[in-house]
Amino acid sequence: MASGVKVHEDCLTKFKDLRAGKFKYILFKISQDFEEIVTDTTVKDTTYDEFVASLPEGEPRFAVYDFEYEKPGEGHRRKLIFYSWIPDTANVKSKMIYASSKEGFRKKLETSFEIQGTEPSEVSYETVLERAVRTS
Amino acid sequence: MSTFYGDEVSAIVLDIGSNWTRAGYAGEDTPKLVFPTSYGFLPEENVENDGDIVMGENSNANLGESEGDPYYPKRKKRPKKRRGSYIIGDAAVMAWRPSMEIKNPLVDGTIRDWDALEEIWDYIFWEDQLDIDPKEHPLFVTEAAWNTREIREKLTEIAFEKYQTLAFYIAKNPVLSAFAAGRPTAIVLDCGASSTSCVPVVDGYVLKKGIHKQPIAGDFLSEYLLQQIQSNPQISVIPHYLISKKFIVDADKPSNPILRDRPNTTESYNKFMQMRVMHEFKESVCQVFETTYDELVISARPMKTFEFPDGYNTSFGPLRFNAPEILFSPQKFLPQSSLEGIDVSSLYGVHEMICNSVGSCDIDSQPHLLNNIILTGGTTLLPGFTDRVNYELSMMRPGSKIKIHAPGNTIERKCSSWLGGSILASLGTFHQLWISRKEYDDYGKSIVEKKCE
Repeated sequence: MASGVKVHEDCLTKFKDLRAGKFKYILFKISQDFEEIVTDTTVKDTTYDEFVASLPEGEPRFAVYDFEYEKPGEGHRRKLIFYSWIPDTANVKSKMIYASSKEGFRKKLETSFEIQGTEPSEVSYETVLERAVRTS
Repeated sequence: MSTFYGDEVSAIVLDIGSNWTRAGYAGEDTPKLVFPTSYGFLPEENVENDGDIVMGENSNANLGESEGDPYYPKRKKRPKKRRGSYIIGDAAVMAWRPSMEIKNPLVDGTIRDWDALEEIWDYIFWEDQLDIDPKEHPLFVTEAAWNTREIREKLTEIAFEKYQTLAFYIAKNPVLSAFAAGRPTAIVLDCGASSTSCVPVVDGYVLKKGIHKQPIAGDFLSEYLLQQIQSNPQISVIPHYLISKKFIVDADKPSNPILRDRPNTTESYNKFMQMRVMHEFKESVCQVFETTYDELVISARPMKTFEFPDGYNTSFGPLRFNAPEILFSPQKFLPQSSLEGIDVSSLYGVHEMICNSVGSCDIDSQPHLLNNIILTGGTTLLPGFTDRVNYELSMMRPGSKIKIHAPGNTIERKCSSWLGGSILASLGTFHQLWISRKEYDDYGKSIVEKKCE
């Protein structure tokens, strides 16, 4: 089941830019009128901690992060990760709309895997690294 | 942007649960109407005046039925008549009537009694309730995860053929609950009145093979409590309708109330009213023990007093904990004799149901599901319920990260699927998801399987 919320063209353009190495991460949000998913911010030089800190405390976001890590014995790896950030502190209306719009959006982006986050520990570097190593 | 459903036309959202029916306008925070799904039925010979219903406080429902009544220009005459009378609504069902049977249109969370379903829809749309014309509104209904294709198609047909709704959609309860909790992927444990179910939802779709359910839930606890309490010869659970006057008495003293004469009361009505008392008992007295059942610790816990409708009052000790324990260790706490047609050895504790449900999903998603467990349904509001589920799961799955989402807000816990439906159905973008009148005309009722996945 889905919400029918659309995806603005710009989200796909920005995603291609990220894949080409122009950004480290992108935050996406649903427009005020709940019609479409739009780009919120794009960030180039940053750290994972700054990314986590940029996820709003009481509001949902979608995000894609260009995750780089060392796989023991196999060297440098890179994975694009999709995040559905829907914190427990968000109001029920925004939770409902983001959760029901997630799958339609994620399918349009080619990412390695998805992280569903409802609190900071679920999107921590360790959690994501563990998942990245496991799914390769 | 299309204004297929303009702002003034809000969708109607219906959630018919085994115990409560919730109905209201999409976009609102709470349902306008919440009333028992159980209804009263008067056989034909007890209905007076050519089908006019014998009713008390609701008799003004007939007022607007005359065509062209200037005060009620919009109200439509309720299409009639089935054999006998249906009595619907909280106060109406509770009010005693001779020969009135209490029935429930659902079996195992799905609709069995279609006449009653239509009566309930009639009641909601017309009869002084929402007072709307279903022709002018899209209709959004919720369903159990295990609802059958036949039932979904029949609902679609009734919506378009009989009520001629503008559009129709049917959505699965656990998906709505998961979305309302902000989790497209989750395990939804629903412990309500008639059944306990555990349903994995992955990316907004029910994983059918992971559905686990059993008929042990709130009603069963009430039934068990009634038996246990009545086994004490001191106590008889006399429901409110029989009591004319009660007296304040000391604890454990006979209350000798003045009773009403209620001839021709049906067994089902009396039981319905007794269950109401037991429901109140559960809410005020019962508690789930936080860790593994321990008789010694429990017998040292403070007792709680309950006053029955007749004024008799006494304190309850271990029973407070023993009844809810059925939900966690049915094998140990359920007397086989209390179950007709159910084999106790086939029953599981709610935590075991969660583990079984998680276990039937692919191994990679299991840690994620254990980290996203949603509790919904009135029975999960028993104090200690969430702590106990958490405790049992960490014993069964040591090392796994377990996170239980149980909204403290009672509306969100009891009405999560209605609320989810209300939000979704109010979105402008949702218009493309509705089954439109035209789609129904073009493809017929089977369209529901395609559009409402």
